[in-house]
Amino acid sequence: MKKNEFTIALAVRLKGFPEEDVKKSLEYYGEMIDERIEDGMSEEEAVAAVGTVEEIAAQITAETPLLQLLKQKFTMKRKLTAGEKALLICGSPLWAILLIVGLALVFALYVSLWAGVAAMFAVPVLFGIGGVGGLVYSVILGVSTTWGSGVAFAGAALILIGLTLPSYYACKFIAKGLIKVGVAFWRCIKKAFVKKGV
Amino acid sequence: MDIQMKRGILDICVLAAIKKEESYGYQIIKEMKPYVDISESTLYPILRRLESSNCLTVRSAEYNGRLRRYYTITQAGKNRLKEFSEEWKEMISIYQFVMKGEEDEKE
Repeated sequence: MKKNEFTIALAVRLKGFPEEDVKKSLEYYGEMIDERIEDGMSEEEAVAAVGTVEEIAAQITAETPLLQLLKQKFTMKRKLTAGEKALLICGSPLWAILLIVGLALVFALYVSLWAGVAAMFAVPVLFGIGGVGGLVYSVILGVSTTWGSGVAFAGAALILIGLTLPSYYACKFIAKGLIKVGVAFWRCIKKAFVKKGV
Repeated sequence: MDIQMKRGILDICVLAAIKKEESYGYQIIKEMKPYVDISESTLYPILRRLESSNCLTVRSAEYNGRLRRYYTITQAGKNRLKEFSEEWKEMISIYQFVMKGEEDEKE
């Protein structure tokens, strides 16, 4: 590939990224190609050496925050016609409401996920409280009725206390796992934007 | 090597390449070549990162009828190199301690 072809291909591929970033990238890679040519490589070799357009675009995408990527993906490639603009405005009660409902749904899902996690942690907390409270009550029971029933109750309370720590560690383990899944999921989403490109 | 660690280390390598005097992109790659293989597309985000964190400054100058970008290290960049060398002095003494134990075992 000649330098011109490469520069044009790269410019096309980077369409939608902030103008300043694109300009800097093109200058940089242009400079790198020229350096290699001066070093003795042929134009084609130099272009091949600096990397493919896809590689470069992937690097730049990976370094760009997701918000900018979204802006890039949804940049209008052509101006809207009057008809399209009118449709957008007239239909706004519909799509605006759908958008709000959609966002509310996502938010609700997110909140319910973490509410679920918080509820999960309630288990060890309740074991702990129940166990300690049970021990206290077993003493009262033993004093007010028979020692036998007091001891039996204390036994049950001790079991609850014993379950507190293991259940706490189980919750911690699950929560960590959920966080890892969440992060991996986010990475997949970002990758999806990289692959699909402009 | 852990990807986060590699990322940080490559930044340091680039700073080291411009620590004595200013340099330009291709020269940096050639200087690093005996130690670490780095491509143009890997170097580019590193230079951008270092510039935005004020570890280096860039100036454009004419060379052979075209523009060449020269990178100069800043005080902040030098400080970062210093931090790195101190962290790794500690790392090296720990490594020596670990390897010492292993040599004793072999005997």
